Amino acid sequence: MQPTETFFSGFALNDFWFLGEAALRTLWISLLAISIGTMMGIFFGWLLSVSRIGGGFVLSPVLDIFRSVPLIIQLVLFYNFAPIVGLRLDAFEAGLIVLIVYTSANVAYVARGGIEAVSQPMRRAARSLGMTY
Amino acid sequence: MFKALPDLLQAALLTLEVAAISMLLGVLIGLGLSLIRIHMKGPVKWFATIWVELARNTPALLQLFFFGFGLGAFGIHFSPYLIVLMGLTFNNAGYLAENFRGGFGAVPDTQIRAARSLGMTAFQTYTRIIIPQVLRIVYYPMTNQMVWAVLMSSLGMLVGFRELSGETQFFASRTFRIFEYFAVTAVIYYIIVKIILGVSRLLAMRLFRY
Repeated sequence: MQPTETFFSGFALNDFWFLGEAALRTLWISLLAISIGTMMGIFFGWLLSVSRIGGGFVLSPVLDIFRSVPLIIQLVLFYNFAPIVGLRLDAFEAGLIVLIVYTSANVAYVARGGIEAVSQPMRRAARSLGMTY
Repeated sequence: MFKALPDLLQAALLTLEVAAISMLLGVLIGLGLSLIRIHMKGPVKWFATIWVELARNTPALLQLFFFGFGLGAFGIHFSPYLIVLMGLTFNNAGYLAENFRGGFGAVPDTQIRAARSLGMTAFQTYTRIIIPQVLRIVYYPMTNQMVWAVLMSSLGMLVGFRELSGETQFFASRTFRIFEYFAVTAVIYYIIVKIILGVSRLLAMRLFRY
């Protein structure tokens, strides 16, 4: 009998190869986004903790936007925004940039909390021992 | 463009509704799960543990797909509304159960003993003494979870649910003004989250006067 052609096939063993490849891509994008995003986030967190005006009134609302808009909306938005300003990005790069910004926004608040948890006397003591900032 | 705004706002209400209901159910189920994980043994505890582990360690999108297409493959079909509601509730319950477990750990054991020695039953002890204190401790994590639920409901657009994101997707694919529509949606989400945080802060001022 002629095998009928169909669009659907069962889950075959060599499908694991594709899934594994995709899983590697997931790991790679997470690794890049987390490492770069964390470094940027720590910097932003330091800015937040240091300056009232620059951090509190300028940076914090901007970071808030990235924390309070759903990630898919950000992804779709940026992927469609990039060509408007003349950037040619593939899906991986666009996703990476969005994830970096998103991670850094989240890490910034954690970093600020961490910096502010170190008490003021500790800082004064260190400075009075002659340490630089 | 602006003719779509009433529809978008209507859809935003739907988003809020789904998030709120899933949050409510999530709190109830989460309380149950965390109590089971603390007090029970055997298969019931395994069930609760597996629930929490699955909810916390798989992407929310996959959970939605499971309720939508996974059960669909077995011939159990739900409306998109129910899919999103169940997926979000599953997710919320898992995360909240862990929050509550931390909360239960933070209420000292002596509170239970004091309540019991005043003649309260175990049920009274929990509903009148322990759980109110726990809810107070986990209030801010719960607020975060509520925001999270609103943001996660945007995944509904991928299972065909016409809430704020789904509606936006619909309009965007009809007019090809993808960037404009999604920009408007982002603003609406931002406002919704700000409102939730503001209301929760007001509620906290009212609730934690003492």
